Amino acid sequence: MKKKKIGDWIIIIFFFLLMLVCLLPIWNIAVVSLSSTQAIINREVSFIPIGLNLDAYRYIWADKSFVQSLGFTAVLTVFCTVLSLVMTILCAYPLAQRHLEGKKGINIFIVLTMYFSAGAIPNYLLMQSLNLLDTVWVLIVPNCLSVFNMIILKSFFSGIPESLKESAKLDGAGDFTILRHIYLPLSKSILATLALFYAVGRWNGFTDIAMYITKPSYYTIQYKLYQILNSLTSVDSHVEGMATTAVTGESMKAATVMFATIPILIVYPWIQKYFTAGVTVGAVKE
Amino acid sequence: MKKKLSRNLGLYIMLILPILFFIVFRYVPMSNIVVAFKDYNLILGTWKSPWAGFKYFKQAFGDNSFWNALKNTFVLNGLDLVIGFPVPIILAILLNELVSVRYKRIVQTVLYMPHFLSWIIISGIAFQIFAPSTGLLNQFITSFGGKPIPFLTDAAHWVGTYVGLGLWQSMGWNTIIYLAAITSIDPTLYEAAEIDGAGRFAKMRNITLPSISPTIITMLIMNLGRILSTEFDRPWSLRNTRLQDVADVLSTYVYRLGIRDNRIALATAVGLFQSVVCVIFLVIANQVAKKFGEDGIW
Amino acid sequence: MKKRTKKWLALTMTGTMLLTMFSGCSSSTQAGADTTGKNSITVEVFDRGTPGGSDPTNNFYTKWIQEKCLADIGLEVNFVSVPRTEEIPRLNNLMAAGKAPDIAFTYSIPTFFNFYKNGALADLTPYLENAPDLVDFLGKDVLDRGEVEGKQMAIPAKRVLKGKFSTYIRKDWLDALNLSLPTTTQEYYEALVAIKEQNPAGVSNVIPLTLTSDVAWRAGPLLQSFVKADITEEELYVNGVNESYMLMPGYKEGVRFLNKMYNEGLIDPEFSLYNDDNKSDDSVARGQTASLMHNWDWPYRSAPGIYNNLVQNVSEAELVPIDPFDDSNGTHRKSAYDPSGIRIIVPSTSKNPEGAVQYLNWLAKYENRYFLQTGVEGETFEMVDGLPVLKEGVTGDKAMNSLNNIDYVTILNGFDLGDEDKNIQYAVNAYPNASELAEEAYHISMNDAFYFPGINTPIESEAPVGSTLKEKEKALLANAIMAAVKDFDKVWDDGLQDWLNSGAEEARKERQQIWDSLNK
Repeated sequence: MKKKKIGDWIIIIFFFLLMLVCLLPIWNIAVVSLSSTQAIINREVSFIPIGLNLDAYRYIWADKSFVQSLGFTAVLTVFCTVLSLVMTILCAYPLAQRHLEGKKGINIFIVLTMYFSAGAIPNYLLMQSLNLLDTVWVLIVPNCLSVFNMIILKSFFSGIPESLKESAKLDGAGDFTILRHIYLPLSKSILATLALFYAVGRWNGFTDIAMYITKPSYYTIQYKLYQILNSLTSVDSHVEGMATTAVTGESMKAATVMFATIPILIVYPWIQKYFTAGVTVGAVKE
Repeated sequence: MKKKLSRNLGLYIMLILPILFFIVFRYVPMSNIVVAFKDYNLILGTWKSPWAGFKYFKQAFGDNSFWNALKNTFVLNGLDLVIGFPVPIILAILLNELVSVRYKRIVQTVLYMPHFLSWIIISGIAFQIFAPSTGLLNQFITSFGGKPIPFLTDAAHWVGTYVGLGLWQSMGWNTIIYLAAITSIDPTLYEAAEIDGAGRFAKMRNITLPSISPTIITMLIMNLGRILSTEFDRPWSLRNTRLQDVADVLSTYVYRLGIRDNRIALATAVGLFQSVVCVIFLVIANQVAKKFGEDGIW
Repeated sequence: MKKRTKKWLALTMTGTMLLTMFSGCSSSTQAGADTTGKNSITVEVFDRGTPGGSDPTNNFYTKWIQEKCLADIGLEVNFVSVPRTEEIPRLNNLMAAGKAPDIAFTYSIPTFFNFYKNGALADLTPYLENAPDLVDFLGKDVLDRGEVEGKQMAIPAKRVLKGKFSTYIRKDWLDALNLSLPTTTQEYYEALVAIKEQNPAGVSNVIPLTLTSDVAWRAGPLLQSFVKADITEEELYVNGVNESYMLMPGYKEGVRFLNKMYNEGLIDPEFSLYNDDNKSDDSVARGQTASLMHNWDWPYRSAPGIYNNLVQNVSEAELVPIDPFDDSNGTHRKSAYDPSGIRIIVPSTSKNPEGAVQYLNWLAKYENRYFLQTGVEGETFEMVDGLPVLKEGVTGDKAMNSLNNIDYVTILNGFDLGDEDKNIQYAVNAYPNASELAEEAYHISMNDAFYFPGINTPIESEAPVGSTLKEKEKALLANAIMAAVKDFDKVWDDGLQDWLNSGAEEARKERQQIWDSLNK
């Protein structure tokens, strides 16, 4: 009994230190976003804001496009996550069944798409011929099914005992029913996980916007952040040879980072409760 | 035969949408891989551009920078795998040991935070901490009379910093999948083990690890298949003019040639080469897993 | 279960509604609208993503252009935005799709030549006959830069101010050491040594000279002064592989000089880690650095700018421009900008190349470009001493996303009042706290300025290895500077040989051939 207690404490302290390592740099960004540019240049800022300055946040809040982008990104993310989950389930369930004819071929067909990609121009031409350019659907459909996530779900499904399925079949249930009434309820934690992966992927992703979108109202919040952080390289600004772009201050950059990251951090703990959904009765590993 | 088909009919119906998706959004544009074998002309397009055979492959293979980038990609990704793969598993198992649910949730949330930072930001912070003379860490060391450590300026140290930062950013996030697997373990197994007098480590070894091993194997196979991955942001943000011998990877090489110098066919050729090598690794890893009796990816 | 289905259905419907609501928030002009029968063109415009800016395709200026262009020459204009940071891939995509705007542009010469070789550009020679304003305004020098094999394949922008480099130093520190402003390289060196040894302001870790990993730029004036002053056009062109000076006679000694300075602690020890200018700029702004070299107006750019930040931090600081580096003739030679700027191109798939050139001609007219570059008096600019001065911090519909709206007035890089002195005055008025210093800096940048020969023949062997050579050059310069003094020659010679072997030697030979064929 005593041994356990010490072990518990060691683990607690270990994680506390790990948390510090993860948290401190982010704390630094938050602090920088609240400090004056002068203090930042003078390297005075470490863990407390110096020259407390809310200008960056005021600026972002006043710039309607940031708030609008935040709203758009949030709705888009929810939409995409739901669609992606549906597609992933529809794909993973059949491939998890041992008796499916042609399963191996289909698996290879799908997995190969993870490794062979077409390149920027052919994808662009495809979106163009499908009339998807500058529409909201180009951000939803082309990446709605991740092979990686599908494989994870497929592995999980194949771990669910056949016996459950067999007994349902004897009762006359079809595949859709089995999926809905047996597999899905057992997969809450994994589905929540995949939902999180899809949501974060969509929230953080911006390369498709960079390629296919020109309407500013479709810019996700991370894309706006990318534009601000990615000031021109030295080579480019030398070539332009004049003061064409206003360089964004460090404080502003930090504030945009916080603005783009905080929403997810707020939402996450709320989703967490699904992860601790325990095991339902009867699912014993054979 | 008819019985099999009708048995699987529902399953095939489910697969219609996904397969359609892959055909339209993956395979149709993929035919453009042939650009790797052509003198690509923007105006003529993929099909009308003249054939160039293996010209661009020869160009790439004849370029020292290509081999350098290839070597570095293997080394850096290999280190990422060896060091970065076990850590999330260990963390997940340890997290599972935490008794207080509240503390566990707080730890998880904090550990996930680095994942949300872009590499531009992380490299800025890394510089503040690791710079040779103005970095916080080295200033700390020199104030105690020690010699500054060249985290960012010496080749071997740079590699360590690169891998370490990657670990910092992803270790928390990568525990998610393992934690999800752990929550699916039947608690009665643990109770039974306790009754038999099993200690903490015995439980980990005999219950937790075996139960999540399918997940581990799956993740390992997929990661091996990413051995020549095209992660761009990290090597680009941490790049160092003087350390290109160790810091230049295939993704930055392709960026310079493909985008800056606009050599589309060459970039496609290198990309194709990467894909082929990745698939080879994937197949080998899958076969090995199956030999050990585990479920492969197909 | 039915309840759950209802819930999902409701969610989906709400989701779709919200999505359409958010996406319908703003409207922008249709890209590539082909209004049949009408004389219309589409024009590319950069989206710089600056916070507080206006919508590049739909703001006060675009509306003004559309109205007036239609009224003046019956041309309908629509705008297509391209993010500045994705300039090249986007243009590639548009070209490949046959949807490139009638007026496109790029700063990247390799991209321009790539398009040319692919046959993606329209020959504009016939249309120039009907564009007298444009031809007059740009002049032969500039237009020649856009010619390839006798045909006008691009309309280059005219650069108003060609001055490039100036050097700066902390005069207050020199005063404290009883030193006058250096006028020779030797005096400059001695000044920096004195600053390092005596540290008049007591700054911790004082940096006499700041550099970044882009040494060729950040030490440009110094290095170029070591190149032999009597260098011929031919030597400049043939040796200038990939715009590098490394093969120019004398340059090596310049790098050796920097190596000596580095080993004496006169250069920021962390310079090779700076992939951009930020950290170097900060070191000046916080009062740690004595001297820097950059664009003549670099310290004053982007409000507040290095200069203003410095003065705020250290009230007695005096950062003044100097021109110390003397070459073998006693002059202060330094390179200046090519008279041309961005390359404006018309795709070969364009349905209205004549309209495109007419648009540029319309832009060249003084009243049109003047208005676009200044805006509305009282709202976007004020008249001060007979010259317009742009107001700072304008947001909303009238915000200029690029200085003087050069993103719209693409034929001009800068602001042109038709008179050189007025142009300089105008430019320095943009820096009210330091306009006299800025003016001095500009004159320094043009003092003994020389230009790179403007030969516009594509160099086949150079384009494919451009980035590789640039990276190797940066690494070589950094390594050579940081090497021990006794190792310098070996590091330089080995590195240069590697650079040559990576394609530079081939490019040099080709340049010689081109020169010979043009100068038979």
